[in-house]
Parts: sequence; structure tokens; C-alpha cells
Amino acid sequence: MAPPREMTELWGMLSRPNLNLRRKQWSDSERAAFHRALRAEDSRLTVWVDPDRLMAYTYDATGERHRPDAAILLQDASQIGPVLAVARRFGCPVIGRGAGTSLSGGTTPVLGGIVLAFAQMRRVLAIDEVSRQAVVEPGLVNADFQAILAEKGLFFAPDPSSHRISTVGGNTNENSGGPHCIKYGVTTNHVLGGHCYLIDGRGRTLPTTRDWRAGLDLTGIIVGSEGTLAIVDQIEVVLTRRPPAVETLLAAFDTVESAIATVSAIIARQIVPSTLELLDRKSIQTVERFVHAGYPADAGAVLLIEIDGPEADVSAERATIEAILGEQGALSVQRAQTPEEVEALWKGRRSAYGAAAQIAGHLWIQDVTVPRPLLPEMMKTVSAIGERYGFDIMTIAHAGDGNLHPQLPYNPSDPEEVSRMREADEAILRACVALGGSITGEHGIGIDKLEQLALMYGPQERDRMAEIRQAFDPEGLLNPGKAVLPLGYRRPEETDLPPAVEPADPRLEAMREMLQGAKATVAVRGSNSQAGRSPSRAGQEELCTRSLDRLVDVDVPNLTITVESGVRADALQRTLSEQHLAIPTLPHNGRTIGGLVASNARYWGDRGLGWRDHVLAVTWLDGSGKRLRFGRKTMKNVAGYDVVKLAVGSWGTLGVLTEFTFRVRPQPKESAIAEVSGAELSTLLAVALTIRNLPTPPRGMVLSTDTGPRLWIWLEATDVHAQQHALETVLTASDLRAEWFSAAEKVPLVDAAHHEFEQAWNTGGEWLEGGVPPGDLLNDAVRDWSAADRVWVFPFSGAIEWYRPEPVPSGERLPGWVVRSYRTGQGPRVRRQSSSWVDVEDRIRTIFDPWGRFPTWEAGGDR
Amino acid sequence: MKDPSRWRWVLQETDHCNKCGFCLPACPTYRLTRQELHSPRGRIAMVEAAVRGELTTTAGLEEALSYCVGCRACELACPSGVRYERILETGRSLLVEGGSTAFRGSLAARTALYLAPRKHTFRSFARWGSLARRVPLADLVSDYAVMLPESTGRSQPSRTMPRPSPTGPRVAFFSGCVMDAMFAEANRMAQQLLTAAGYRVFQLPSETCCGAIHLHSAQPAEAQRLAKANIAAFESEAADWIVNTAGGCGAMLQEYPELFAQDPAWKERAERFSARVRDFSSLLVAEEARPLGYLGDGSRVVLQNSCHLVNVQRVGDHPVQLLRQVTGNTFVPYADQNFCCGAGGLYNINHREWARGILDDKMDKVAALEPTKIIVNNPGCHMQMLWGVERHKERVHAKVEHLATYLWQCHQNYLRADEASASGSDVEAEP
Repeated sequence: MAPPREMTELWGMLSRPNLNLRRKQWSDSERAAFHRALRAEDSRLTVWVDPDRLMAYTYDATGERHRPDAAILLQDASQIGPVLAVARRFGCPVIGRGAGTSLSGGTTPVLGGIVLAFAQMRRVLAIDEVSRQAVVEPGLVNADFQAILAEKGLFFAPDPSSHRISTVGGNTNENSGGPHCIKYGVTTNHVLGGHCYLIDGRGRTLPTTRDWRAGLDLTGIIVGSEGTLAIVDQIEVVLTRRPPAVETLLAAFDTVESAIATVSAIIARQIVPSTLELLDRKSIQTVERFVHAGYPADAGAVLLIEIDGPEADVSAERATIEAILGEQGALSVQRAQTPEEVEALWKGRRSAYGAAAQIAGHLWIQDVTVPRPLLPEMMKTVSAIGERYGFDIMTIAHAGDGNLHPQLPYNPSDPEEVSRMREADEAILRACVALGGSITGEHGIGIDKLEQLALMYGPQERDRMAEIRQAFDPEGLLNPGKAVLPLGYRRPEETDLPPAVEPADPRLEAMREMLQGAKATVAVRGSNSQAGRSPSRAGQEELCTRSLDRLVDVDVPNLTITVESGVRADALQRTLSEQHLAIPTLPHNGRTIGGLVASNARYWGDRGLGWRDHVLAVTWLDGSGKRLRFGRKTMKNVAGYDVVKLAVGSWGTLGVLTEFTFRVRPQPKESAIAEVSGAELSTLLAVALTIRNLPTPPRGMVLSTDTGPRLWIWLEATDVHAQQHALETVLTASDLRAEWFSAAEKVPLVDAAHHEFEQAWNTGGEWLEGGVPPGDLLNDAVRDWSAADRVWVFPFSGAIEWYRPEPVPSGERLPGWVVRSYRTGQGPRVRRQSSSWVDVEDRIRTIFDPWGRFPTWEAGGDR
Repeated sequence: MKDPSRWRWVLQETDHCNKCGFCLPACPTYRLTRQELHSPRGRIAMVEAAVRGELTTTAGLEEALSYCVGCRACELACPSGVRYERILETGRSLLVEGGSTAFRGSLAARTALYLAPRKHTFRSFARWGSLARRVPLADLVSDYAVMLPESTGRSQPSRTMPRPSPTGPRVAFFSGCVMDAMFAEANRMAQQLLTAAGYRVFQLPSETCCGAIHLHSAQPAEAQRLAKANIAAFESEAADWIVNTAGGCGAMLQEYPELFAQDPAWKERAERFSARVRDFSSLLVAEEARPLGYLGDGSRVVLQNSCHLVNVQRVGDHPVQLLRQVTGNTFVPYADQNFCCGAGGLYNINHREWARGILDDKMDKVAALEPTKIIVNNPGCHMQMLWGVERHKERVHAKVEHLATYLWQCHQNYLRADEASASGSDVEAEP
């Protein structure tokens, strides 16, 4: 029987001969049965099946059209489970969709299936102003969310250029970037958890991404997975205080090179602007032709610079930047004095897409990242590619992130031009990979770069990603044909050529041999400081990483550093200090970097989500000795899954972590530590939460009862006096006083005290750790420790560490916030974040440790 | 659907649509439904598929195209400059040719289409309608009656007439059908304002309805007939400008050349006509105008700007400039003042539920601003806002006024205060 007419190909589909994704065509009666089943599930369900209505769900902003079999307009999350049940019964793909603004085809139903439209599910379910977090539904438009938050003096940091249209759900699934990433990071740095459905129809709470998580960072891998792992129906996000001051400058330059040199010079002076947007000559000319934004039409490049923060810092930084612009020979500098002028300076950047779109029928927008210092080289290569293939490429770039968007105007009705465009496109991708970049910084793989993922990741990494997909969705029904290809896909040239041989490293060879020949469980050890806390098994062999002690790459202009895992924290800290750089999760003297990342070690000087915010790339040996490398030394990278997140807090269960690339930041010039005591713990906690929500929060805070309740506050800034003053005001209001110390003097003392506290359980008693949303620390029910107990509380993350001189009796229930506990002579006891993830975690562990080489938490015993 | 290939020219327009989605937040029906079917980009995709012969059903297409308000905010929002109106009208024509009756409208709408070009009948109809506001009537009728002004303003004498300038630019005043039948007062006051500003204003008895509501009800032939009548009527007159007070009519008059794409002779005549069409507010802010003083009475004023003035004529900031010139009142701008109120020509008659949904959302925002006056500059919006104030009378206590009426009163206040200060006495502004 011929396929029904409605399934015939649509105009504009691109042919992808190498892809081998097929789906059985339905007969008319199968299709009718499917439609009946959907309607039978829920009479309230809005289901569209007629071909004309479905046309409205064939596309996103990528330029291709593919027909779905049905579109369902969700009203609430209770409708998701039943729809997934029907999908499974009929083997029908399910594609989540927010506003359909994806630029990689993420929401196009390339194999048909059910489009789950979330646009009507757009409520803000909760805003917790004390914890500075919120829970929202996926269909909430980013800009609508920002408008609600603005009234409270808050914002949601991810603001991709599509924020007026795109949804928080879409931003989460794509791990969106935007113009402010250089300072604020990307979406995954602002997602705390939420709720999702797997294809089995079961709802599951997403594990927290805060530093008191027990299991794997599954939320970290679901964010940016393009809807292929789970259907997310609630997103819990971090809210940020609006900065008190913002300055906007527009500088014009002769060449792209001098613009980028300026960017490097700004960063070299320890300044991280909130925005560094670059337009090249062709973009400026196009913008001026269509929009008349008032950009200097003869300039080779313009740089839009925004800095924000405390007033004192912002004005000092502006003066420095203006001086740098002078030194670097900027042709002109405009500074916005009013909100209208700010708007005017942004106008050219905001309309760059629109202006380019007027040149030809369609606009192809590429999205690649390279290490920031290589941006001029990459931009030169792009214009050479444009000339070679006959396209007038206009490039705009998030220069601070090394993320560039070459835009190619083309005519979709001209097959020759379309195929030439695709060739130019692949040439750009190859060039960025050759420079160590990522083939997509923020738009995603989608359907668009499925085959090209192989340019960046080898068969090993891609197969691991394909297996991760199976761990969540064994039948591959969630958004098939996106993000990663099924297991075993090889590009033609990969099957023709022998695989690349990596240079032999005797240290790694030794480890590989040990893994392959091990007779017992292999426990990975660095400084051995966490031996009693790690998963372990009787009779295990120990693999020591201390031979991996090389500092591989210190790239100051890129703000990255690559080190091997056996490097000690103090050694790394020394190198960083010499370059006036910092990683907020350090010091931690004495421990190895590998151990810190693997144990997701908490540090009171970090106010973010811990190590996961700072690791850009990781290399590891898995249980079968295969060397895997995920991530790149670029600020943004959404190519395939964010497997890097799995390494952080993996506790040696997934492999031997051998090398990391960290994102580092300039070390602010001044610092100070305030010590506050002489008050009840509850008073200090309340004050800490107020300080946590100051417009300019401190670098870190911790509260200890070891020697009576005591709060330490770590300030860092270009000019720390204004912050000290703001802090004194808060303290005075609570009748408290701060004693001030220099960081150099006090930090080692606090660290030593904490280290001693961490070891307390070795001589008896029980040590428990866990956490709550920070605002809940004020809840009396949470603080169920007695005055005699020793407690350390981390007000930024809500983490709690509690030492009881007497172990918890075996019959007694642990407090709800506890995720792990340790006592002498016993293995660690771990409570899973949510037992519903056990199956997925086990499958993921099997991917990386097929022979069961590494010890697991179960060996220590859950309770 | 007949063979759609003769509509293939419209693919040049649809090809420009990158489906970027910038039109979504601008679209009143998308904001109301959050359904892609009722978004500009969705309608474009469906018309494209129809023209390419990829559709086997059309009920959804009919629904989508008939529920479009036609505010054209998507055209202003579109970064690629897609001319949505052309695609929409092509889709409608394609369906009508295939036998669709979806665009004929309700009985009330067809009555309006019949009346619009017949000025005298329309005027009497409007007068009777206004009276209907004051008598208890069956719900069905009163539902529409609240949308009519309390007085159509045809009988009121004017207080002060400014002296015409002997040398100013010549302005032919286009009264429009609904404006003339229901809001004649606003037309008269606009004429007085223009005269005071130094224009020489005159009227032509031979003008007729602009044809906008016919075009949007898939009656392009009738729209063309009316357009030809107007073009011919104004052709012989040596007018520098053809001015009107209705944002929607003005937009239609400016787009007459679009109606004659296949008829070069008429297209050229239409271009000469359209090039001279201006909204009265544009003439008042023009450099050649004598600046007028405006004095308020302490009112809180919000603007419901005409969609077609903003999105098609693209002079939406002219009314704003004028409102800012009024001293003594508080003009409260708000983000949605350019956003559609749901009137949409005959939309609030044909698709009452949706028009009400869009209106209620608008009134929520307006109510929060606590205005005492809502200023309009298009008769459809005027009626819609009257309906809105009536529906939300518990929380919105505002008078709906045409911009011309408002400005003329403020100008009178100004003149009185000026005289008073010249004679040294203190006079209260008249509300």
C-alpha cells in the first residue's frame, strides 16, 4: 500500500544520505488506531491530527519542515504520562516543543511522531526569594519570567538573544547561552533541578545540582540533552540579584584583530565584563544599510562592552577599560548615559540578525566556539571560506566566550546554492575543530550537525553518548534523530581510515594494564584523604593517580587551565596566584585535583554550584581502559551530551579521571574576611541569608559552632571598602559586629578548622552531611542538632555538616536533609537523592564500567 | 481547493520567512491561545503548504485565517520584512475560490459591509443604534449597543471656529464611513485643529468607504471598486494632503497600490493618491504646522493606539508626541499601548469570544494604570474600548475619547487660560 498522501515529503527537507534513521510507515488503519488511542486517554486533551493544522508544528527557526503525526497542546503535567504510554504502545516518537525557536532543528519532527507543545504550560509555580530560586513550567517565555522577576529586583541569568520568544523549557533543554555568558555562565549553571518524565511514563524529581547531591549529576546531563533523555515538566532555577550599576560602551576598531586584542587586554586587567559582543565589517555595513543604528560604517569591527556590579567597581573598571581602548587605538568610543542611549548602542547588535535576513530569502546562522584568543584566526578563516564558496558571510560574535555566529544568506529554492551552503558550513565546522573548538556553542546539534559531531568526538565518546541515551530511553523514542546518533554510527571516512593513534603515555598504560588485569575491585586514590568516605570493597586494589602531576596548559587570555588529576590543590593554587587567577572552589590544600572533582568537594569560598561550574573538559579512563575526552577548552559547548557533568561527584565509580580543563577567573584585587560571633546560631543564620542576598554578595560564607556560633564572610572586589560598608550596615541592624582579618591570614585558619572537623569521625561518633534549599535553614525543624554537637553550615548552597559524638543509633531515622554519613570502621552510608533514579544510575555505571571494576556505593550499604 | 499553482507568486513572500518566531509575542491571537496554528508563522506555513499543494484538508487553515485579527503587528516585529498581509489575503482568496464561506462573516458583519459605502443610511442606522443604549433591550442587541457612542455628534454646534489661513497647505479631509456615521464630532474637531494649525481644510462630497473591511472579508473586487471611486474623487483636487482620523482607513488608503498589482494604469493612479494620505496627527506634528498649546484638567490619560497607524502607516509615535505636549494632564505610557485591542474591523462582530478575550487582557493592564481617559484614534478601537469600559466598569472609570476630541478640548482650555492670564483672572479648566 502506498504511503498516505499526507506523509509525502515536504518541500525544503535536506537530504542526509549518510543518516540511517528510519521509521516504519504507518498504514491508514494503524494511524487511525493511534489517533483513537490518544483521544481515549484524556477527553480534555487537545490533539491535532489533520494535515493542515499539523503544518503549524512542522518547523522551528532552522529552515526545514517535517511532518508530525499528532500535535498535543498540553495544559498540565498530568497529561504527559498517558501520552507517553500511547507513544510507547505505538512505538511513536515524542518531541517536546516550547516556542519552536531552535536554530538546529531541535523541535522538528524529523521522523514524525507526537509534538508535545508546552506553550500553554507557562506558570511560575513558586518563587523563593530567600533561597533565590524559583520553579517554573517549561512553556514560560524567558522574557515574561524576567518581567516578573524584575519587580523583585531579580533576574534569571540566561538570556539568549531569542529571550523575548524562547521558553525556559527550551533554554534548559538546549542549554542556551546568550550575550551575558562570559560573566554569568550558561543555562546549566542556573538550573537546580525540577521534575521530569522518562519515556516509561514515570515522573521523577530531578536531583539537585547543589554541592550536597549524593548520586550522579543527572540533572546536569539532562540539561542540554535536546529533549532526548527526558520530558522536563518543571524547572527549578537560580535567581540572581540585579547588579546595582551597569555601564555600556561601544568601541570601533580598524580590524577584528585589534578588537580581540582589546578583549584580551581587558581580561588581563582582571576585569570580566558582563557582555563583549563583536560585529565584523560586513555586519556593521548590513546593519547600517537596513537599520541605521549609528555604528561607524567604515569600521572593521565594533565591540559592545557592558560591565556591571557594585557602583565603585563599575566606575573603576570603566575608567580602566576606557584607558585600554585608548591604548589599543580604538577609532571611537561611545558611552551610554541614559537608558535610551543604552538601547541605542544595543540596537545595532540586536538587529544584526534582522538586517542580514533582509539580504536573501533565508539566513543560515552558524554557531561555533574556539578558545577566545583564536577568535581572529577563526574569523579570518570564515571569511576565506565565504570567498571560496561564494557567500557574503557576516559574522557576529560573543567575543568574551569565543563564540561566533557566521551568517550566510542563501536562497532555499536553489538546490545548487543550498548544497554549496552546506559545504561551506562543513568547512567552517572543520576549521573550528582544528582550532580546538566546539561545533556548537549554544544552538545545539539538533538534526543539523548530527553527522558533524564526528568531526569533534571520536567513535568512543559518541558511542558512550549513544549508550547514555539508551540508559534513559531504551527504545529511542524521545526526540530521535537529534543530539546524538544511535550506537555504532560512523562517518564514511571513519570506516575507511584506521583510527587515530594517540601518543603512548607510560603512566596511562600502567593504569590501563591494571584495570584490564585487575583481579578485584579497583579503588582510585589521589591524596588518600577521602579513603573512608569513598565507595570501597573488601580486598580492593588501589590505583594511585599521583603520577599524573603535570600542568598541561595555562592559557591566561582564554581564562582556562588544563591540569592532570594528580596535581595537588596547593600547586595549582600557586600557579593560579602567580597569574592573578582563581578557581573559587580552591584552596583545599593537600588534596589532589582529581580527588576534589571526583568527590565534588565543597568549599566555603564558592558561592555557586561547586566544581560543576568550573570544569570545562575532562579526560578519563573508563573501566575497560578506554580513554575518553569530553568537553573542550571553550566557555560554551553544547555538542552532544554534557558528559563532563557526570565526572563531577562520580567518586571513582565511572573511571579514573586523568585530566581537567578548568574555567578560571581573574582574582579580584582586594579581599577581606569578616568574623562574626557572640550571637545565637539562628541569629547568625538569618544574617547570613540576608548577606547572601545582597546585590553584591560576598565570595563565600561559612558558619561553624566548633567554638561557639561563628560566621566567616569572605569579601572580594576591585574595591572591597564599599562591600565592607554594606556588610557592616546589615550586621549593625542585627546588633552584631564584625572583626576584620586579611584573607591571607584567616583563610588558612578556617580551612584548617574545617579539615580537622571533617576528620572528627575517625575517632568515634558519626559525621553526617546533606543540605536544604538555603531559605529552609531558617526552619526550626531542619536544625535538629543539639547545642553540644558540632555543625558547619554553608549559607550559599544550604549544605549542612554535622558531627555527633555518639553515632546515630541504628533504629533511629536520620534527618531528612542527610545524604551521606560516616563512622569509624564502617563504609559510608549513602541515601540516594531519589530512589527512582537507581535504574538509570546503574545503567550509566555499566556504560563506563562494563566489567564492574570500580567499587560502588552499594558496597557501603544504603539505609 | 482548486489548483493552487496560480498563487505560487506568494512563495517569494513565504520564502523570506525564517520561522524565527519574533512575530509570536506581537500576535494577539497567539498571546490569547498559545497555539502555533494561531500565530503569524503558523498561518504562513499553512498557506505555503496549501500553495505548494501539500495539504489534503483545509478546515484548520480556514480557522487559522479567519481568526487572524489582521492587526499586522507581526509585520513590524518581523526582522526579515515578510509582508504577511499579502500571504494572509492570498490564503483567504485561495480558500474562497475553493468554495469556502468562512470569511463571509455574521449577519451583523454583512450588514456593516452593506452599510459602509452608503453614508446616509449608515448615519440614520448609527443614530438609532445610539438611542438603543438608553433603552432596555434584549441581550443580543444590547451586547452590541454598548459599543456605540452615546452621541454620534452630528448635531452638536461647535463653540469656537479658528480662522482659516489663506496660504497654508491644502488638505482634503477624508471623513470615512464609520467615523462619519458615529464619530462625526471627532472629525469636526480634527478639522478645527488642522485649521488652527494653519492648514486649509476642505471636504469632498463624492468620497466613499475606503474598502478596508471589504478587503479583509475576502471581497477584493468590492474593495477595488471603492478604491477606484475614491482615487477618482480626489484626483482632480489640488490637495497637498489627504487627511483622516481613522488609523485603519488611513492604512488602507496608503495601501491602495497593493490592490492593483495586476493593473499598471490604476496602480499608478493609486500611487499618486496614496502618497498624499496622512493621519491628522502626523500633520499636527509636522514642521509646517503651527504649534498649538494644549492644557489639561488633571486627567490620567492612556492611549489605545490604532494598530494600523502603528504597524502599517508606521507613525504610531505621532499621537504619543501630541499627548506629551498636553500640560496639566498625566499621560501614562504602557508597554501594550500599541498592542491590538481585539476590534479588528469586524472581528469583534464575527469572533466575539476571541475579541472579548483579547479585550479583557487589555483591560487588565489598563485597569492597573487607573486612567480617567482612554484615548483612541480609530473608530473600531473606539467601539471596542467602549465595550471594554462597560465590561469592566467596576474597576475602570474612564471616558473613551478620540484623540482629536481630546486635543481640541485641551486646546480650547489652553486658549481660555491664555486669555484669562492676559486679563489677569484665574479660570478653572473645563473638564
